[in-house]
Amino acid sequence: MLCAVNLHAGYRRGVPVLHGIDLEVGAGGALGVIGRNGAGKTCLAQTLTGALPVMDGTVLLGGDDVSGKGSRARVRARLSHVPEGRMIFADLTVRENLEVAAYGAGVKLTAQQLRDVEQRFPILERKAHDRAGSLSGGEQQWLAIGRALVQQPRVIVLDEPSLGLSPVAIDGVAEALVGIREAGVALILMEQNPYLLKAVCDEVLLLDQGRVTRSLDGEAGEQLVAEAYFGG
Amino acid sequence: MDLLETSLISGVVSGLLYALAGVGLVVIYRVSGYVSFAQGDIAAVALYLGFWLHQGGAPYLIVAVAVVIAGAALGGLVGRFVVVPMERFGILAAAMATIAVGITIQGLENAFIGGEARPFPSAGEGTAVTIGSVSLTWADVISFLVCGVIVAALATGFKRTRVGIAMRAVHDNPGAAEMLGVASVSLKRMSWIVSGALAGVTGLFIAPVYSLTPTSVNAIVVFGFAAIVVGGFDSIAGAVISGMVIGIATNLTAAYINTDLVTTSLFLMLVAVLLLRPQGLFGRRPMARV
Repeated sequence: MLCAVNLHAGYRRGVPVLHGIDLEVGAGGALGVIGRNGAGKTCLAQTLTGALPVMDGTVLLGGDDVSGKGSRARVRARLSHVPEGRMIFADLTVRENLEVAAYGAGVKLTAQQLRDVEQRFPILERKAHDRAGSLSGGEQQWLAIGRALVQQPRVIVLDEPSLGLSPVAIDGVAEALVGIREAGVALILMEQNPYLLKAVCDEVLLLDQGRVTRSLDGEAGEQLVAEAYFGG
Repeated sequence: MDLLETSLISGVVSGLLYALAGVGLVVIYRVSGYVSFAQGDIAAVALYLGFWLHQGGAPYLIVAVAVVIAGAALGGLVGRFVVVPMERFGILAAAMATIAVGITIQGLENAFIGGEARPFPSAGEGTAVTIGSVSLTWADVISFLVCGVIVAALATGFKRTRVGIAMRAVHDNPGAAEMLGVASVSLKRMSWIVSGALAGVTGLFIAPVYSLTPTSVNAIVVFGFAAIVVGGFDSIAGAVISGMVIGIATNLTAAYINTDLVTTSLFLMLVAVLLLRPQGLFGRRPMARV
């Protein structure tokens, strides 16, 4: 569904942060990317979703080359982004946040769709008319994921959704992401939280200084993450 | 009593016009987060075009439509080629650019057209209604209705339509709006077109009363600016109510105290509101996690 081949990218021209990343995730699959601060996770998330330009290499979405396209075109090709720090619209209501997301993707926010999202995250219905800035961190994360869902995505790239959340809230995020996977949406999850990656992903890539140093899966993967990432 | 009645009623009529002038500023603020100080100058250019059309024998309706279209076109061009590109250096640079545009337009008008006052046709002569001892002209009534309809339409548009909500989202968090696929630059350009059209409409009601000079609309836009500061930048209803309060207060100052103190009373009110309630009487404090 989403495939990156030999991807090079960075924040400034001539200063690449990513050095030849290859990854692939199929429909309903979930790929994790773990790495320390500064490893290039956010850069990778932004390059996949079009917020940063591709310096070299290719991003394929459903077989189509979207490397030269920006965020708007990729959102409209059904690739959504849950950015680091959630980036909700604090002064807009919860419902308005969802409306803007649907507008950005060029889709209508139907009553059915709204019901689907609000069933998954009931807090978004209870606080539909509250300003989003008044939500707790966990609730804001639901909203950020809800915004991606109303865009009717084929793939969602999530950048550290566990950041700043309590363990209970992280459990909730894991449960929700598994549910979204089961609905056939592909997920790419940039994370530092091995528990969340284990709960959601089939395969985890270890990113270090802009390079994928290992591909990890299953129980062996968990052990390798512990060794490679936490030093044993 | 007559003087009081006149002050109150004409205060309400002019107050709604102040609100319209203010709302023209709010449209750009709500998308981009700064105020255009070129609003009155964009209106002036459109009005000069209307003036010449009228001199050439065009009927009022054609003149009015041409002024609004010219305002929209000039606003769109200024936004597209000068101010929106300047936003990459920050909103302060963009706001300064609007001052530069305004002064440039004034300079060109003074150099090539001359700064003398010219008469501008009115939307309607003669008495339309009499309330107590106060007679309102057709121009007053039309101005009141048009301003009311436009202000209500804009308030609804920002609150209920998808484009309006997306415009507010761009102001709230431009980076997030882009990531969600919102074409924020297009919305900013659109706000300049709408704002230019509103400048034209506002000018159509100001120029017949104060006559047409390069700065006559600017003088009223100052009252519009005060209306949105007092009402709150994010509240169109607040702009209407505070526009009327300003209209009445300045009329009462002129009638009972001293006409020279009108502007002083306006700015005293502005300072008092800013000291006591910086977000305006009807504005909300921005949400921020601390």
